[in-house]
Amino acid sequence: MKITFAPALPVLFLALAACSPGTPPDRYDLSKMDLKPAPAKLSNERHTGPFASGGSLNMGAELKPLDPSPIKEVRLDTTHKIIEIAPGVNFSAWTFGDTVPGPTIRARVGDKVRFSMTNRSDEPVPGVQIAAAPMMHSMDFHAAMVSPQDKYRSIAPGQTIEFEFTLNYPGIFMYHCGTPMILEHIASGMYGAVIVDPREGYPTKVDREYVIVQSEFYAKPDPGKRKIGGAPLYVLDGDRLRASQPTYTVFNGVHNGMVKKPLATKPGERVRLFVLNVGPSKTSSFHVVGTIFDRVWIEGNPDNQFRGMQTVLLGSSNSATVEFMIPENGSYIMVDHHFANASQGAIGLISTSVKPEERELEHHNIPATATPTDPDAVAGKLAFESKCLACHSVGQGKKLGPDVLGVTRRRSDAWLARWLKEPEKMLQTDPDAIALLKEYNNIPMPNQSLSDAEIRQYLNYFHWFDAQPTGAAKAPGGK
Amino acid sequence: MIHRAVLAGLLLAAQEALACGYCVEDKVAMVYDHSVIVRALNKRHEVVFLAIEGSLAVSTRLQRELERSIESTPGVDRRSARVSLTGASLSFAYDPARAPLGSILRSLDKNLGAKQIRTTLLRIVSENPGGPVTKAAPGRAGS
Repeated sequence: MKITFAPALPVLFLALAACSPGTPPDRYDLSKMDLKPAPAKLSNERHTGPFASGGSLNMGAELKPLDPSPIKEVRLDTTHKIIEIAPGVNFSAWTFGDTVPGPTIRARVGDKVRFSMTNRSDEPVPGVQIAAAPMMHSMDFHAAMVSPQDKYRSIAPGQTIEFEFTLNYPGIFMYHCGTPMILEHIASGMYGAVIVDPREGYPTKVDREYVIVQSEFYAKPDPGKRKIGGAPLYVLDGDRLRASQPTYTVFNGVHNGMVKKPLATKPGERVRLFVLNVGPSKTSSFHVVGTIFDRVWIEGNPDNQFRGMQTVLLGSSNSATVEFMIPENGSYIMVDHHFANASQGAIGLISTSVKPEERELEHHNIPATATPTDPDAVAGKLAFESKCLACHSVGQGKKLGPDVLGVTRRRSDAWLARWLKEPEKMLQTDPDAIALLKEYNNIPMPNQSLSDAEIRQYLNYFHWFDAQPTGAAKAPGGK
Repeated sequence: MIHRAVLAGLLLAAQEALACGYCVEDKVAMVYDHSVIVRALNKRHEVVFLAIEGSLAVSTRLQRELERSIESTPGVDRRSARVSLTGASLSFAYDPARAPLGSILRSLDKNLGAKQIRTTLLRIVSENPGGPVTKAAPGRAGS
């Protein structure tokens, strides 16, 4: 007897496929996503009290555990306020939740975000009479799948918008103001991150979780020469903004902020960083000196995994989760390996010591104990701390090169300007330069290709610290 | 802060605008000047927002010309014109007791017509708490 199975095979395969225990359900099954959010509501009921509220909000780099509530009530009001983005640089910012970046929202796939926002840009800032004029603002959540015309509409000062959406994909998503000119609204501080954990949690366990938001500032001294507490007010520099030439590139809103306040860790710990590059116009080559990223989840989604990466490249509004081990005691340096950005402040430490390192690390920046207020001197100070501290100190003795404290009393401005401009030429002809070379073990002063404007900034900074009381102005040295 | 009635006006306008396209609030935001609105409403004047239609070369000179042209229109408040060539929109305050909006817009279109530019009504902000706060000018369709 001949038995033929062939006609039954397709049916058998289908049955096996349907019953196979090895076939996971599709996490991204569109038919199971909530894609019908309710219409947004507009009102003139103005929020009062705190500018941000909600159990899922995180106000700094350190992240709280996930709030288990399936509905996340989130309130982020818009404000105009003055923030200090670098020492002495008081910037006229626009915010979500009165901070830059805005608070980080943390939730989980399947959670519903119930969002409300009052445009409070017309409210006076306590103690400060200088802030940008009230204007329209809006909210654009990259984590949402909604009609922009309904949910992301611009609202006028005094108005409140409310809408809700369900989180369908895990990841790290940007939020920002979408009101024209969007570039100006983002560059003025209106952005933040939404972290969406996978529904089933992450596949790894970690000891620490931090969020790092990289962004650029484009600041110039106020043309009207307004001041904040005696220091110059800085405003958005539209020309530099359109030319993509930031004055500061920062992590979590502050130039060198996490150098002054390192993130804590311990040897042997596994650290997870949620990294978002806001831009608005620059990419980030995010790197941590001293370790290797064991896992990288592009856009923060564990399905997009790489192993053993040194650097992760993030365009504007790109993100990644990186996990790595802390092998031994030390300060591990988070940096944008595009060092032009790092030298503008995109740098921070993850340290096994509670206090910031006293010693300089490589060519990276360390804060000084006093700050000038003149914009040129501020720029000179920041440039000096970025480029010169490896070889020079201010008031802390010789290093590879001289201690520059008192340099304006030892040398004329003309000499210093020429020395900064073309040291190699002076080393051929100038007796003082030749003597310096000999005194410092024939290590030549490098030509930093400084512009005349930059040299003027350095000189202003030198004159500033030489005018300070003894010991007031110190910039610690490097190795 | 803006009077509540004004807010209600903006809200109603925003809801009505939804059928007209996604960019209405964006166009309004481009020429929204809080100080102009506050100043106008304190005088019981109104503020109108218009979309600009036509081929525009973005230049400061053209922007100034348009602002001058708007402010030379009878009924328009001085120093209240705001023009965004990038956003293709404009706004100005006016005194409805002195000149109805319809006549202002007809005069404006006549002035701007020489530059091959037409306007379309987007919003009117009014302090009138009881009456309609967004209205189309006679013979014109609201956006």
